[in-house]
Amino acid sequence: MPFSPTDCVSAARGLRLRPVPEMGTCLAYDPARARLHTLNATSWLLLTLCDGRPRAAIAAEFNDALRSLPGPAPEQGAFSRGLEQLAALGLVTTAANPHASMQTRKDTPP
Amino acid sequence: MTNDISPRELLARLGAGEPRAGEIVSEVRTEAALPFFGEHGAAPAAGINVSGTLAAIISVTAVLSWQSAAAVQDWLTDKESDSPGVSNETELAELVSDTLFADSELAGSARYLGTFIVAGRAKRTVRMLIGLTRPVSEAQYASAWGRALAATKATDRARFDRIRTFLALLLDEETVQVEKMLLLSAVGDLIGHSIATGPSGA
Repeated sequence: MPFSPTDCVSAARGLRLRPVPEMGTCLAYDPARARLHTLNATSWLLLTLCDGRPRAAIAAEFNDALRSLPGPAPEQGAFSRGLEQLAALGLVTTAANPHASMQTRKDTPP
Repeated sequence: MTNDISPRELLARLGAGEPRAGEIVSEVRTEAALPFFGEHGAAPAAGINVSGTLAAIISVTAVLSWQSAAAVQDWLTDKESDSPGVSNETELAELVSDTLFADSELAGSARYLGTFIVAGRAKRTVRMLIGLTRPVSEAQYASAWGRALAATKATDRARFDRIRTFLALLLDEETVQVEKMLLLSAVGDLIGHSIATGPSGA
């Protein structure tokens, strides 16, 4: 799914999360589709950041969080790859940013 | 062990890795039914009533002669306890739930789910199921049984002898198999932890 940096990204409605720290994962249950998913810690962090903010803001916080951790960070592009995985599984939804639209209209010559 | 942990805390423990998310095929159902024939067709009260969630099931399975299987069946229903009306099976269930991990942090995490008998033409398969609500290693499980039996022997010798009789019926058989089946999808109860209210705090 192609994402625009201004798109707002939200976790799917009604999603239920259950961390399983002893296995290094978090289970995510999607009751609307009766699907169970497993997320590693990185994907879990990414999902929890998807609270309706624009994609760029989520990316900034995600990358800041990973940079603050000890040890090697994932390779560049981890955010995009992770978001695409979540979208492919139906765990996140996107919506056009209304503020971005207004800005575009304002900037568009008549 | 608590599951109240945030993704940042888990990342701090494990380090950041490449994001990975995938679907779990948690259950496969068919519409088929297994037919049972003969005089021992329908098993009464064969359902397993589990409240809460299980992390694993221990299955102790033995293929017994009809005579030994009948002894198991008789043992389960016999009421030899000092307490009136308490069957041997109830005592076994109490041992599993109350005594098995009583002296450890895993106290109360085992449940006796039942003993089930499948009739065959020449043999019978007897299967005892014990549910574990928390992940328990095989070593912890084995030593818990040793301690529970020792404690029972010290406090109630007659009960210990009854339990030992039952365990011997199953475990002394050369066909016995003990399996630990992990229930991945049941490790988390998936109840009440939404994005908005979950322990992640997001």
